[in-house]
Amino acid sequence: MRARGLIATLLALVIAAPPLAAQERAVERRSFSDGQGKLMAFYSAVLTFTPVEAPRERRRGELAVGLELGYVPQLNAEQRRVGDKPESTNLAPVFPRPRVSYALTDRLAIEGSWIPPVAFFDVKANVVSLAVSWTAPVRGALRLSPRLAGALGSVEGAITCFDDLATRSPDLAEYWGLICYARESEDDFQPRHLLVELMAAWERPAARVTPYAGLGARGDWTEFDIGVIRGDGSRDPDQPILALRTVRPYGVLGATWRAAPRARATAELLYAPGSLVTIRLQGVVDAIRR
Amino acid sequence: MRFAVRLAAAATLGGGLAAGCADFTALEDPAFGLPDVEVEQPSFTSDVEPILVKRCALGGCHTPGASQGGLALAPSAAYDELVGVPAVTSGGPFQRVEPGNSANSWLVRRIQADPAPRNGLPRMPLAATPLTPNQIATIVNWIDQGALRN
Repeated sequence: MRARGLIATLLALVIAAPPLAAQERAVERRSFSDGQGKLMAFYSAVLTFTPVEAPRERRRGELAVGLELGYVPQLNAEQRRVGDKPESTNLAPVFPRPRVSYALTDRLAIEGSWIPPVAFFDVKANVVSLAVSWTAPVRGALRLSPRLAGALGSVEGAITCFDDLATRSPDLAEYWGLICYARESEDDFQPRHLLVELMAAWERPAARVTPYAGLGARGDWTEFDIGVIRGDGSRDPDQPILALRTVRPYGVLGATWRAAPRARATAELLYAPGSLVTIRLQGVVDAIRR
Repeated sequence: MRFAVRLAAAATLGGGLAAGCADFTALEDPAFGLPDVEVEQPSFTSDVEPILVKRCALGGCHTPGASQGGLALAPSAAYDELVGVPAVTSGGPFQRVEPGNSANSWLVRRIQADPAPRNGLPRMPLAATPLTPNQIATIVNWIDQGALRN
């Protein structure tokens, strides 16, 4: 009984206490209306965990695996500028996302994805996404699918301080020397968002292509940890953590092509107003089919 | 119908590849949320210190932790750090703020567009959006009126 009380106390302390690093760092709130807030919302939108497949009814116990490729639009100099300083955000033009889905019932399915921490171009991501959806026929070929999804993780790269700054202009060279300690930063973008969406598909048994569309809202609790590294290798505690809290709408339009009895390919257009328009592609194979 | 569906799919794919782009311009508020007006008779506490704190006491710059150039502009400490204090980085006989003489105050020289008075050193805030002309004029007015602790 005593041990149980101790464990409960320890758990309460762990849950209540923020991480040590967070205690020492200032947290600056950003809104969608400022430049840095828009940059953060842009990269959060890139990782939006939409289905990238037409909603469909399944058989209980079905398991499908897929690989999604998402295009990351490259930002121009003006969009990457904070003050007079560019941010090095065009680090990867595409991101791959392995996905798996499992039918809990004929209508209820869960989806998951994990981008493992493997360096890809100049970034290292470690992002987990989960979703649960319920799909049912409404009328004729029309299927509706409400879906709840979320993403959580970390994307690391040298965004604030990068060695190119040393050669661009005297001001930036001074910034590189004084503020960046002449070292590349280890910035950490931490997407944390929750999606609520409604998808609709027009699925006819004889047709090999199923078009679909959907609307959703993304609630962001995303942070950007400015990771300036001091001469001794430690993180500069003087640099703040930027926090974006916003709710943004988005829409998708896509089509799934049944390439073989157990394989499908999907192209999906994602539009997040004020952030981006982009395309995602996914190939899916039914690993277990009932 | 089948043709229409295929056409829609092709349009989605082609349109997405062609139109993939960012849908924003990162416009920054040049006044950084501060009033962008020239204050004729400024108060240090109400009109000048907020500009210094918001634009200069940023991470890695003039915070107590970073104190670049030996200058920290945190609230409540900024006045004593500026007024009558020799400007060590100026390479000349300047004070950071010389009461009644904005033209000779190193603070004003470093934030203005003209590079000559700052001996070619980078304009402050470093690699950031400059202070607006109204904000600079407010600081100049405060110094020319005696740089009072008001």
